[in-house]
Amino acid sequence: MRKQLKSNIEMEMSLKNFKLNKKRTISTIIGIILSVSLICAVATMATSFQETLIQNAINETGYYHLKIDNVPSVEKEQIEQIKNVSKVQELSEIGYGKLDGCQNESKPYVHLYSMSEEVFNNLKFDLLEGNFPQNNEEILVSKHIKTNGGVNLQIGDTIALDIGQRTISENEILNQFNPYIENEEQISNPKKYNFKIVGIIERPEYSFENYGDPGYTIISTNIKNDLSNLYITLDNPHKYKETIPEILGANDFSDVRNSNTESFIFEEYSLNKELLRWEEFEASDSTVAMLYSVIGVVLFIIIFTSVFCIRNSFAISTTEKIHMYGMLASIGATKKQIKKIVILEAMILGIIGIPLGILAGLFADFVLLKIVNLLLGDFLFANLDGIVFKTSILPILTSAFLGFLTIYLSAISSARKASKVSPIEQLRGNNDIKIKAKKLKTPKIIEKVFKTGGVLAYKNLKRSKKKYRTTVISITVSIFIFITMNAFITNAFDLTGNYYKDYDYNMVLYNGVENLSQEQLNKIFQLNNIKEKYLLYDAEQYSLTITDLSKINTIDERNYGENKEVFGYMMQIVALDDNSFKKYAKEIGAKYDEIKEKGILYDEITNWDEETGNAKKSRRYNYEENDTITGLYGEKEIKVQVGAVTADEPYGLEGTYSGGGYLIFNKDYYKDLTFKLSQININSNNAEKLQEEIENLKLNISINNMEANVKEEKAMILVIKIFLYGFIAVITLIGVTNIFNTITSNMELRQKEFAMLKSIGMTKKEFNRMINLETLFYGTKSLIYGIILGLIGTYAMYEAFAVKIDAGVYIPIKPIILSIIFVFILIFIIMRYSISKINKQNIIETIRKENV
Amino acid sequence: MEILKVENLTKIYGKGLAEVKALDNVTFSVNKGEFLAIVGASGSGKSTLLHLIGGVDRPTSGKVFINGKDIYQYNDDELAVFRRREIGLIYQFYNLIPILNVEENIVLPLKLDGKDVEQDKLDELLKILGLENRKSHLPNELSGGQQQRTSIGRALITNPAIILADEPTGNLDSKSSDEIVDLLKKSNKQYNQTIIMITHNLEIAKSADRIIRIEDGKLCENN
Repeated sequence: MRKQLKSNIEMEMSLKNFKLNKKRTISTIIGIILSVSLICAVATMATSFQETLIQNAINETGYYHLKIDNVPSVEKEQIEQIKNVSKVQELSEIGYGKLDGCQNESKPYVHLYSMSEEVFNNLKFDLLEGNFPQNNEEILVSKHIKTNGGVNLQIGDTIALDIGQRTISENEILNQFNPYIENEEQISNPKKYNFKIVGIIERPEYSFENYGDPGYTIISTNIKNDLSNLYITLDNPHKYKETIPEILGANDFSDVRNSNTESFIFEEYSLNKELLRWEEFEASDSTVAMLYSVIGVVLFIIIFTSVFCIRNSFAISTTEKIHMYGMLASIGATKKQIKKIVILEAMILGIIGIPLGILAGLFADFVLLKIVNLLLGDFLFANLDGIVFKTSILPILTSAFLGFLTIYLSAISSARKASKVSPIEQLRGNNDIKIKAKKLKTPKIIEKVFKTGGVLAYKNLKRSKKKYRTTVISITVSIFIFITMNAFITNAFDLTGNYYKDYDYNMVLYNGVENLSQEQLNKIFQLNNIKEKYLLYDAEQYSLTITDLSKINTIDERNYGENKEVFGYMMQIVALDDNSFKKYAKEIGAKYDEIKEKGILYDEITNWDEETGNAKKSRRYNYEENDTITGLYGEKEIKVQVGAVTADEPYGLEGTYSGGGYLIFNKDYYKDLTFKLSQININSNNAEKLQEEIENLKLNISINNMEANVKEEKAMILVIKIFLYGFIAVITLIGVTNIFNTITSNMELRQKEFAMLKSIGMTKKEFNRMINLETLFYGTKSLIYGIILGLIGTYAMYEAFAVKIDAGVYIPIKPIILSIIFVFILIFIIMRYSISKINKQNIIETIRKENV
Repeated sequence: MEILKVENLTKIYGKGLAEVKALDNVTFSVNKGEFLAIVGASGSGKSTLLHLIGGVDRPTSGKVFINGKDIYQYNDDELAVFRRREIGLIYQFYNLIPILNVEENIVLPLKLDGKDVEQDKLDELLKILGLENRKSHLPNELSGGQQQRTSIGRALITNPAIILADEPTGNLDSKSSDEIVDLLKKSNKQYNQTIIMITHNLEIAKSADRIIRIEDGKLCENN
């Protein structure tokens, strides 16, 4: 019986080809895994960020898309019927009532709501202590009733309230957006309630209890009310532009957006804009657009590098097998069959590498986010523990698709090359070198310094340029990306780092400090943890109006009125306490004793060149030291003396901007004007503790704890740096696998040549010299190209950022040096590795062996 | 009957001053079942001639007829298929596929053609080649003689019109060389296989039915 062997010879050959050079195969697969994992990681990062922002919004406001106020209960069912409406939750706003003993004059009420426990939880109220009310005689109170209103309500207390509506004269009803109008408003139709306090909640976030709401939120349950506030959630948020108009009875969404409520069924509505924004993730949103463009650029870089490297791997792999392809052609394989073998091989590598790459990418993302959250979770988002990890089918499919596309494109050119091999070339076996017939002159110096080895190296490089081209390009690209990314990082952080780096203090007290008595001030100053303080005062009339055109350097066209009269510049008049003034004077290089009774002029302004979009700094005035400034102060014209002119911002005014400049006096010495305290800037060694202590003094002032801001900012910067450097590392790694492939294959293909050289008597020393020169040559070549391109990239980055900030061109010395060191170390290591393998081989066997 | 006819075959390499005339107007024919040896010094053009007969390279001018067909009318693909079925190539450097074992190397031309392998025919061939015990070995596990025998098996498996052997013994010791030549003769006698062999070794050439000499790309007197 005849045994029939079915053949699919191409598949067989492709599968067997892997055995040929296991290291090369593995190296190529690693390259594919790295590329795909990077693509997948970036895509997953995007979905994670989106999900995080969504979760953050939900945790802040609760999960709803549309809120409608004062809706008759019947309407709820109607709305529930509408397609795409997922859930309608309701609560009732019962009314306001006077809070006895309240010390906050602008917030004298409680604001009573009734809702179910489910709704309470869904809207993300924060229950600090106690339990949710079981019936309409139990109540939750907000924490800030005590801390802000000064009324100490505990769990277990009972409270009697008259709850009604806030009305003003003609029975006009006031809501939470109307501030308290003492003596004019009253509570109408009050009903008596008696509540027992069963729990305390955190102050609700502002979209529920507005900052200006004159009533503290208190919550009960099951209180009957005609009207409800509805919180509506959509099934498919992407369709909100159709559904929301339908719910409200609007014609289209633009009416909703612009509040053209004439035809609406419901007029009192608000959209949960934050949530919609992140769920929609529309490119028209500027933040999203920025994110998309960043991702686009990143993906482009990844794919560009990947295609380049993977293609190179395949090219090398094909070159190694060229002998075999030629032989196949000679025994009768058609071009198509050979192409098929190459492409099948690539596809198999893809099927192995791509899933692994996707898994690696997801895993890397997961781990990275865990680490980031561990280090910095507290700072990143107000309502979350950190970034949420989320992937969906989209990033996975995208990675797989792009991966396969990359591999296919890479393989096609190799396939074509393999099929074009003429059998006769292979039989002759010398097609790797495109020899130019003309005589190649070797510079004498090479022979002198590097002797024979050097000469051979030189001729090698000159004659087989193509072989080294991919190595050179690969190294160049890696260096370029490294240096340019560095520039990007530095510029981006100049932008943000600029903000806080010049501050000598980390806490600012404002908003109410002007009302503090000296006794109260002393209480503050006596606290521990104050290292230094700077007091900033405003002049009573705030500013001096300068109308003398001859003294004005730069005039903004915009300040011209219709009659081309100069409006005049308002020079802000401020003062520092004596100590601060002394310090300031020293800093700007002025003599304290000479100027303590005069003013220091700070008038640096930033002008925007409309055409180029560049920022330029200049002076507003041309007043100089010892000049006299004449201007209008309130109603009077006064004269003040300039003691010094500076471009350094005074304490407390960093980051602020006045188009008319500042004139800074010493409060204790300048007696011609009256000042009042506007800011106390404190340098504290423990800002958190100090803030607590000041808050305990109950002084009704605002506190800005910048240390928290700085910490948050630094955390953010660190996270971004991790991502960017991580990205660079992986891109470089892809490049490294590529360089590894190229160099090792070059070495391997020339084994015979090396063996022959040794057999005719080349010493190890000379041999090593030859290899060293080759390394030196193309290492230097790549470095030069890479550094030049990197410098161009750096300048491009500077230009891109110069619109926002003119930080000066940055010469990336550190990255350049790092690149140089890295490249040479890398190349030497790889070459040494290859050579050591070659050295181990027996000379004669290598020469006789033809299946290299 | 005439199985091969070579007509005014010329092959020129390079251009201008670097021009090399490897073959100069060569004409001859071979009958079916003949064992022909082509001898000549190195660089005389013998390999070129063989390659052109095998359709591995294209001539500058002239024609090659195999079984009456002008093979250089074929395009590349047709030429490949032709080579697969009608020509068996044996080289000095065995040129086996390193990742395929003996058996797989031998049946490769058949597989490229999409044809099934008749296992008993294969076994018989392996026996004749003396490779039954080696059929699953890879080329790097074989001696030179064994590798060359595998080559011959690959050349024979398709029952080609002509077997072209380019210095088949050039890489072997004398014992192996004799074995190879015997094998060739055997297949020539047993299967009426036409064989054209190149050699620079006159001793080996004597095993053939007919000897042609080439010198500087031109044919000399027949022996």
